[in-house]
Amino acid sequence: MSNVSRTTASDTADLVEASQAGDRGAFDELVKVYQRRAMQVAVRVLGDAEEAAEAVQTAFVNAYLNIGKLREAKRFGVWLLRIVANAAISQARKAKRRPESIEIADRYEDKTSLSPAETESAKELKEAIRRAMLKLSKKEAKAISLFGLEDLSHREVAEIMGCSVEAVRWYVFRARQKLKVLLKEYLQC
Amino acid sequence: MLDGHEKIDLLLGRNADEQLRNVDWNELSSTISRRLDKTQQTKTYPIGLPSVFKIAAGVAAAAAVLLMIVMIKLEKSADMQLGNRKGSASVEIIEGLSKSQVTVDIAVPDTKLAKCDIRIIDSRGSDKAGDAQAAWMVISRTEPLYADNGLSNDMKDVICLF
Repeated sequence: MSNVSRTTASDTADLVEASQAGDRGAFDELVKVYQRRAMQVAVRVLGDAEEAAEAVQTAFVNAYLNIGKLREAKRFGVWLLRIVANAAISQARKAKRRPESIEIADRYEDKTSLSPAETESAKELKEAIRRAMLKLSKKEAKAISLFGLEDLSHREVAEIMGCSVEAVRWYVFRARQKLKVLLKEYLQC
Repeated sequence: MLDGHEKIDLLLGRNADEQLRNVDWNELSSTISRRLDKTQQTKTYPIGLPSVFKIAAGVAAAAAVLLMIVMIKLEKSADMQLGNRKGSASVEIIEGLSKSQVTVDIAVPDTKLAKCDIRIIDSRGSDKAGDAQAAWMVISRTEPLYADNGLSNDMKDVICLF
């Protein structure tokens, strides 16, 4: 069970209202509650935990700076995930422009439980997903990343993306079609 | 048997789980907290206030630009009115008479020719008709509004006229 599901809507609303009143501790609590879900979205867009962590940090800073603009405190989750998805997509576009040879220090990478072959295969898959996601449109990337999340209804995904449920389904369909081609060699395994 | 779409979802899910398996959540929240600390240090004004300043600065800048445009237009319009047509003046002074007729065209539409009478008063004596004190000259009709550039400049106007 995720942290989010343990936190009731009224808890979140209280924390958001306290944050809006300038309580930094309350915002730190929101970070602890929502960081896991934020990472789930970001890692689906970026394919990589470290880059996802970078995007999530940026998203939380943006959320902190703009929390005064959030009208409905109980909508914080949806509002935050929209910021996270946008930050992740923006980071993916920036990473695309960086030379691929640059390897970032591996703070979040698995170091223990996989064999060298498995690690290599996991790295390959991660890299392939990262490249494939860059071939999708922003909306397709956002839709496929949010669609697979537990506890997130189709209506909520639509709300995060600012479009209809039907449009979300269409973007997900298109994304899957493209990914099927781009990742075909990994699908045969 | 899984179809292609389900396989894609599984693949993405598998990679996400793999990536998130070893994330140190405490480390992540601490890193975010440190970044927020830095952000807070640089944020010296309350939330919402900068936009008020931005709006005020924008309005002031727009007003300044508007004022400049109006001033430039007014200046150009005055130049066009007075600059395109040269004014002219003719003065007829008949020796021995104290009154002369002066016609002045002060570079405004022809229908608005300004006329004024100038009495030349003998500085050695007094004006018999009006008992005026001797002076160099007196303009006895008011000049048109558009030529009126203030009392202090009337003398200059007359000097220019001659």
